[in-house]
Amino acid sequence: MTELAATMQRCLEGLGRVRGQIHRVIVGQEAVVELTLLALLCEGHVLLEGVPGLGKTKLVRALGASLDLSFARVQFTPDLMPADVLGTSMVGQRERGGFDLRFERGPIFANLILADEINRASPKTQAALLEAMQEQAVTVRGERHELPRPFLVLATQNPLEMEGTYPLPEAQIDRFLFKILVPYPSEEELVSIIERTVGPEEPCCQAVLTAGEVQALQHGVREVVVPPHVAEYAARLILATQPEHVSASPRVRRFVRYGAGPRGAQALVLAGKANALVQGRFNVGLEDVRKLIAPALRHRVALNFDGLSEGIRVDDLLAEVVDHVPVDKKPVGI
Amino acid sequence: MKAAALSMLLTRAGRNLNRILVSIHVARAMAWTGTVAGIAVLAARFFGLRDALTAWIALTALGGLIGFAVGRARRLDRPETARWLDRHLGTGEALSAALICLARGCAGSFDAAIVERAEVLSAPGTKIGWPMRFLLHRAATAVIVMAVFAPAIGLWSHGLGAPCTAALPGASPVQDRPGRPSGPKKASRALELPPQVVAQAMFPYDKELALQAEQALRAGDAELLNELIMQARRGMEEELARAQSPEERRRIQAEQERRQSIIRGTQSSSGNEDRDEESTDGRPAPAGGGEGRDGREQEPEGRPGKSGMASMASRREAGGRPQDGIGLTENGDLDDIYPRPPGPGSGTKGGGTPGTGRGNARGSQGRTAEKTGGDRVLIAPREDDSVLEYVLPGKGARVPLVQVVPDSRRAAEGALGHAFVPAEYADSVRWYFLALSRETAATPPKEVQP
Repeated sequence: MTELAATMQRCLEGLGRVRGQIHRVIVGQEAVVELTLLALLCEGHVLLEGVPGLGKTKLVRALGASLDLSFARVQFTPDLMPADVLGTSMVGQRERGGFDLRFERGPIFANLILADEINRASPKTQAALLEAMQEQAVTVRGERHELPRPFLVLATQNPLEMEGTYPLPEAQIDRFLFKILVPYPSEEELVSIIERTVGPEEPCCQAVLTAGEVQALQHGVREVVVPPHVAEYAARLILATQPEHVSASPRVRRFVRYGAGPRGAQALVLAGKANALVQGRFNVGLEDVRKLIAPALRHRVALNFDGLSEGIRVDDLLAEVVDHVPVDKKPVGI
Repeated sequence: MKAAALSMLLTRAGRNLNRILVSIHVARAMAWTGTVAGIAVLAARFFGLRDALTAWIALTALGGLIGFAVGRARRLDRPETARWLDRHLGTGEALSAALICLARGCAGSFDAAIVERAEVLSAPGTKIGWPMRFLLHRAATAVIVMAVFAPAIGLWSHGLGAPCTAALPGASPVQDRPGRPSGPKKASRALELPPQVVAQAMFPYDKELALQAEQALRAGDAELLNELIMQARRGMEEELARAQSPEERRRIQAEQERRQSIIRGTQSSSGNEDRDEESTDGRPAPAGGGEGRDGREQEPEGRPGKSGMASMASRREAGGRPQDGIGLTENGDLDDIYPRPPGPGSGTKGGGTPGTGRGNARGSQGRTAEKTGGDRVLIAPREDDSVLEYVLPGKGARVPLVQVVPDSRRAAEGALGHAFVPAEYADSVRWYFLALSRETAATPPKEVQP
């Protein structure tokens, strides 16, 4: 076994410990935690959507605490300005006397950013996140500032309260690796939450994985092998979400306004790599791609008015796409 | 890096899978060709094909060979074999990935680990469920096809219902005219004979008359032929008057009666012409005798060999080519010779060009409305529904709502997707267009008064 493979084994054990730390705070929500960790390994951003009180913010806080990474929280409001997120130039006094303009870094200069209720901010402030999310850098007054690595934005939004909100534009929502829907907890989970949270001591997390180990895992994800037919399968899945494409199913043609693009394909395969690595494999399988199609593509497929009025769920359409698209481009015949 | 177990597994699996694949192709091809060829051979056997069983076996074997060639051409290579094994062993594409790693010399960070895992998965004890079900299905189909067609063709070839193919030398059977009711099989056995033979048969004792008759037959001149017959009759009457012995008198009388019957036949065929025309019921006929290739093919079965002079004459008028042959029954009996009636479609009786029934009148559809164009267009589904009343630039013309809503809706979808619109306003726009869509779907498109 190579050195990198051995490092991976060690880091994956650390990732298991992170999972354990998060579950000290978060009861249930295994899929949400798992997808968040996969996004961390891919260095991809996550959009968490759920009604208030399901532990979205707590999850991100727990993740920040479990990792030895800097963490910042930004509460997005309609009056939040880009400078409040990125930072601004302040007049400061020089040591030798006199004044100059210094760049005061905003909360974006952290490893983990919790953008709470991101859809409440004005489009201007939302757009300020664009460069940071895509380039891992911000430009203020013509000066480019690199963001610390790893850099991960975990944004939350509430699907119910739409009044006074600004839905994220397509260009920005496409930059999130996953859109994770946070479900209600079950009865047992609720009981466990009550037992853990109403006592005198509230559980907390300890840092069990260093930034270096996280980066090693992120590097390892990129090294995972993707067989050509798996990449072709992912490409066919992406094309089948596009209503204009010949491979689109009748329901996709009828209900979808636009489908996933190249960034969706990248997200799907990268997430598949991370999933394979977490499972202890160094190659992506078809099942990895199938498993992650919903979180990777649900925010990249937009329904048209017909779809909205019929109450179509994007996840159902994506499941149909998986059923509709053949695994092999050229069947072997047996 | 060596991957002996993986290589061995791929080789073994590839060999077996390719055998199965080729066998499947052979069985499938034999089943198809066996079925198609069986039906074709049975049909051909009905029309006189000899040795149908051999032909069917040869065709089916040819199909099998083609299937074999196709199967060989579509053999699985190593990546495809690895993919098949991954699928059936549930290895999560480990073998495919290992092949990639081996192909690039295990240069990647995880390549060695991937190959190691593939080696473990390819251990010699690995059990593979070969896809025999597909092969058995195809083979069973092929066997059923063989079991059905082989006895059927064999029985028909050597036992039941072998059709008679006997034919007189130098004579070809006259075929039925298409579109006409078939008569008894015996009647269809009219023969084609050269005009010279016919003429000699008509005038065996008078070479000069026979020569003239031959020319008349070649020219399709019915009047001349009748004239010759009448002339021969008159000559025989004169001979009869001069005859001395009773034998000679009987011979002349018999000959006279025979020729008389020829003349009667010629006259009675004119009556048949009329009946034929009536039977066509005024429908456009096939292009008369002109389309006949050799003046015998379109003979009705009920009157074998009646390709007469009138027919040939009319055919010539219709652009047809008079030919050498005329109809004659199989036994050469001239009593059965009738002139061919002209095709009912030729000439003015054909009914002319049928009308299409459409004409030029197109109603008001497509007519440019008087009020189209201008600077105002009023679009409203109902007079009393002011909410959905919608005024666009244009003048006078009223466009049904159903024609404009889809485009407007698409434009609104695009605008909402690309502009920063607060959610409550976006919802308003969305529901407005949904209401419009429902409205237009519920009410049929119609022009309404503003």
